[in-house]
Amino acid sequence: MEEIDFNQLYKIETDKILRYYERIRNQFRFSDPIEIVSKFLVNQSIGSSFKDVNDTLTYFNDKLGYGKELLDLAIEWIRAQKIRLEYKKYLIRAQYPNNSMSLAVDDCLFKFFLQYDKYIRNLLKEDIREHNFSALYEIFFSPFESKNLNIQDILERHIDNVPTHFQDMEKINTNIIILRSGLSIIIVKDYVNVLQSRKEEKLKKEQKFAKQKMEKLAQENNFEGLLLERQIKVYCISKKEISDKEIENAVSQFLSSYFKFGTLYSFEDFKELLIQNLADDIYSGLNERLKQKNTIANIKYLILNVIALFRKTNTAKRPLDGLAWKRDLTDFLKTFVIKFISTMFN
Amino acid sequence: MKKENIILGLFFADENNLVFESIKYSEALSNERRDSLKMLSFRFLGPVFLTAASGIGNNWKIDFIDSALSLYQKQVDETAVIQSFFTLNSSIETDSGVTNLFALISTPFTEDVKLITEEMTEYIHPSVIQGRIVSESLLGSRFNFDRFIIRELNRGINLIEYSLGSARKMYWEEKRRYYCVGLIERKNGEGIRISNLYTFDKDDPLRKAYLNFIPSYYVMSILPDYYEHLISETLTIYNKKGVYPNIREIKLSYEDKKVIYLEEYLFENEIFKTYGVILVQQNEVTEENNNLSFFKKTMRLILDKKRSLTYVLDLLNPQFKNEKWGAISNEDLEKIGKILDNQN
Repeated sequence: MEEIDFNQLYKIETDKILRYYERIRNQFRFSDPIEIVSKFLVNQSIGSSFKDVNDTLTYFNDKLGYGKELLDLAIEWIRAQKIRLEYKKYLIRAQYPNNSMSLAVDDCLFKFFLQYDKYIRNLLKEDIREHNFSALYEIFFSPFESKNLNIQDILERHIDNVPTHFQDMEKINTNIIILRSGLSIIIVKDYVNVLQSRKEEKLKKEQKFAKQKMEKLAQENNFEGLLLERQIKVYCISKKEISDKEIENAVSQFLSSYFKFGTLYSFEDFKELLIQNLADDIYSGLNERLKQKNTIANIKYLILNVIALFRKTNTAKRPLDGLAWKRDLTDFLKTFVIKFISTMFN
Repeated sequence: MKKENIILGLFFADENNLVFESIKYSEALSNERRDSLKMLSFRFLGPVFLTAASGIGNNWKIDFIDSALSLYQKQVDETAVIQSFFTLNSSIETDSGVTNLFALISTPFTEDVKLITEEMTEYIHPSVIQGRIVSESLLGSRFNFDRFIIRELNRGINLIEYSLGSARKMYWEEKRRYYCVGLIERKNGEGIRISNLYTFDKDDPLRKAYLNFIPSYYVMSILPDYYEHLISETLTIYNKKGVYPNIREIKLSYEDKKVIYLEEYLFENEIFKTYGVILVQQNEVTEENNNLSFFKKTMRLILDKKRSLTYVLDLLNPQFKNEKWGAISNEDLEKIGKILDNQN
């Protein structure tokens, strides 16, 4: 595997951070050095309380590698937040078969943390026991919102998980087991959260889709005579004669908005709706003076008569196709509308 | 990726050459074929053990086998959708001995071999070794290795499967040069199976000198034919009709020594005619080194331009003798072992 330059890949503004550290140090120059670094870290929003951070730094203080200082550990703690951000971005997009948690752990460890382990081991002494590393990983990569990091509790959890193995005087490499020990629970929790968010997102989408579908269905279950309404409105204002053909088109559009080719309808299913919608559309097209003269109830009564007449000639009891109803009704309604328009000013 | 579309197996051989496997297959595969699959691990790993078991030379590893897949024109309708077929091997040596983790992969994509190699060598295989140490120390006599290794292999095979489907990437690689120590001529078709080795004269000191840089002339002679037929059988078991494998590359290594077997083929008159070169990576002993494209081009000279074998042998290595060493029958192979692999 190619060596990754973590300083470059997960770049943090070290100069700016160090200038800030200098300010804190000058401000609290008489404080204990560990406390100064703790204050600096807490102000960098790493998500732990001052006490937790201070205890952690105190514990690792004598375990730092040759030439390393507490400030180096602090900088890596800050960098870890950046790495966590990138890893979370990756996890959000990942699609593991059967939502396998075990695969999520292995994939993230391989892609994000295997090389990181090599990098971070330079920070601590070579001969320290391995559970220190898995504890450090838990501290570095725990989610910001649930950080309650008591170093002693964490160490107790890790100390029995991964014993340190030696062959002669040399420590046996068990880095993958250490990574699993430190990060498995974190990765699983993060992936569970990702799955939960996906579920909620899916539910939201489904609800939105169902609502849109209902609205569409409601629209489809009405007769919409927009053209007819407009023609009557224009006629009320301009008194310009409307041709029979134009009225036929408007009636046809009114019927087409409800009747669908290939769908069967019974007369009783649409009779009331047709009378109500046609009366509404005609009424809506009238000006205020005509509205006073023709109430909706009046118009409905007139349409009811036409429909009754239609029913006398069309006695089909079985459901008919939408196209057939449209063809049969057009002439009756057209005649009615022509008569209504021509007499409405009388 | 649908299980029907891939061939994926992960085999682990422990220090005592006990083999454990995890193989993915479609539910539709018959019981008879499933039984045949169980033998795949032994057969693929066979030559990996061979160099050690034969007692000849050193414990060479077969790191990578890549095969091209050709389409049978007359069976286009039945063609199974696979594009790549390769195997990878990771070997780790501990105080208890050598363990091998071997992957057999065939998919409809060209695949990022480097990524899968890293998964095996950097994560899956070390995880087995480290997991065993830790589990043994934690569980003591309650540690069940069989259960442990199957769990690890399943974990590994899932990780490999998850990374399948990405196109093969071009990585920056230092250009290496090689020295040719042998040419293998093969012909395969209905009722025809020929394999011949051309190399240095048996009395040429170079023949003996280069024995230290290859597993043996015997092993190198059998590898292409052995694996090509094994891959063909594997394709049949998985019901992948209409495709025929042609070995493209075999990589072997031992400590810092590396050998590449590179092959080119031509399908003509219902016969697969192939020429492959055995190449030793440039070192302090080798002379007249060339890059891989030179060797590919040279083999195409015989196959496409119909240049004579003598001409090409001279191009590959002027020290070669136009003497044919049969590499199919046991008798011929024994002769290679006895004469060409003789250290004296």
